[in-house]
Amino acid sequence: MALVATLLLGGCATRPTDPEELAYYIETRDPLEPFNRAVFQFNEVTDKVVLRPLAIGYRAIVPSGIRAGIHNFLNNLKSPTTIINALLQGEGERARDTFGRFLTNTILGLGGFIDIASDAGIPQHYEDLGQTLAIWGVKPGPYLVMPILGPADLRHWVGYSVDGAISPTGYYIRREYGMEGVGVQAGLSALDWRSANLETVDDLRKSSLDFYATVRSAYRQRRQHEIWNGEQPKGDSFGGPEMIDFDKMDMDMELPPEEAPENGPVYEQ
Amino acid sequence: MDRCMNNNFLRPVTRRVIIAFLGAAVFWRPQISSPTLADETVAKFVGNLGDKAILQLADPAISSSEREERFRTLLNENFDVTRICRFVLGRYARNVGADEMAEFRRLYEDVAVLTYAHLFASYGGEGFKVKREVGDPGDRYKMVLTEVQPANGRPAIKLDWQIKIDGSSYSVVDIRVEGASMAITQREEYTAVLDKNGGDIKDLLAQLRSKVEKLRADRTNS
Repeated sequence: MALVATLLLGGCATRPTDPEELAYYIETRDPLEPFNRAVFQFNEVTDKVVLRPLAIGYRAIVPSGIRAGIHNFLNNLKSPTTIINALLQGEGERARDTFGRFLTNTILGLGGFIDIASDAGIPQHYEDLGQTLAIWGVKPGPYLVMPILGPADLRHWVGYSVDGAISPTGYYIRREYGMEGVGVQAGLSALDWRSANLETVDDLRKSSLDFYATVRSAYRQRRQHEIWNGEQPKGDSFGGPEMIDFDKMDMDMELPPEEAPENGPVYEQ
Repeated sequence: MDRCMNNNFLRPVTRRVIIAFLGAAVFWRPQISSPTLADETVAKFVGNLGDKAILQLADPAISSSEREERFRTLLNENFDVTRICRFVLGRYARNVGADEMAEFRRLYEDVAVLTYAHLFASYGGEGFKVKREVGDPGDRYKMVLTEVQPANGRPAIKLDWQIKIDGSSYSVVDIRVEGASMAITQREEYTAVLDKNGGDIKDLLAQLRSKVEKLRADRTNS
């Protein structure tokens, strides 16, 4: 963590002052990039050698109905975490929905394998402590790629660890099945995600000239989307799903002050 | 349970559990809210485009090169590819000459065709639903929120379309997949390459050329 802090502070040295440059800088900054790229390469190899072949096998061998059941079961295990965090974010409606889903699917859906709640029209939500911290105003911190686990920002990682430690379903699994249970849950989650995203990941990887940059950008945008629950708060200038102004697009890039045109930007509309 | 929770909290939950118990699956249909704005045409444009794409590209009877040509036609007729190309080059766009920009545009189009056209080949889902449009009357851009239902019973995928309005003609400038904008993601990809090579557009074009060749080779092998 000391290393992370040092690198983070080091990365802030060239912070631009212009608001638009600053927004782009914040959006794309990656003070740990050399470290992250190395871990990313390691994860890419691990994926190609282990996870992707397993996911292909999982899809080929396990019937789609059972895979859907496992997906539902894993999702249901996350419900208590979502309930806790929806309440911490003041999202009563979402907590209520998720409580309803958890009861319905656990009791009537055979421990979560059948997603009866979705059929009944109860919407599905996903909240975690990283999102809660974001709502509370905690900054994302540096983008950090972890071996095997993949990319996330520091706030997401901190939330993920605490969520894992306090999750009631996680506690139950640890108590009943020990670390083997935890391992099975983690392994199944990885297989479930990878098998559902085989084509998406393969296509992105094949078409991208810099897959690291592609994944980083997609992660950040999706994360912001999750934090805002898909709704862009009006007037927030930070990235995210607001509309892009394509008419002033080559202005919104960071341009070192010494390179700025003397008579001001020439791209004014 | 009544003793541990207040009624306000419990009532909707109990009701929903009962609804679920009664097998309300049969009653459930995805809700399609009609566009709230008087001007429906942007939403209609996207709806038509989605239907057209599925109709023309998901046809299992056509060859993959036919599918690619149809995709290319749809792309050029409905997307503002030139505008997107300028955007994805970010701050480097201003240093790119007309010839280089034309080549970039051609290669960008090839990558899109070779990457996305085949996705429609295996599409057996339930189709494409326009949820609503976002934006004010008189805006130059509007956003149309849609959902695509995959075949395997997985949750619907949210696709948001940013549309440029030019009088009475519309063009797509961006698609967001579950909140991730393709234009922004590609801008990070291309500017990362240009940051690394010192802003050398010729090098970027060379990399793109070999990418296109590789994608073509992969396609013929598969």
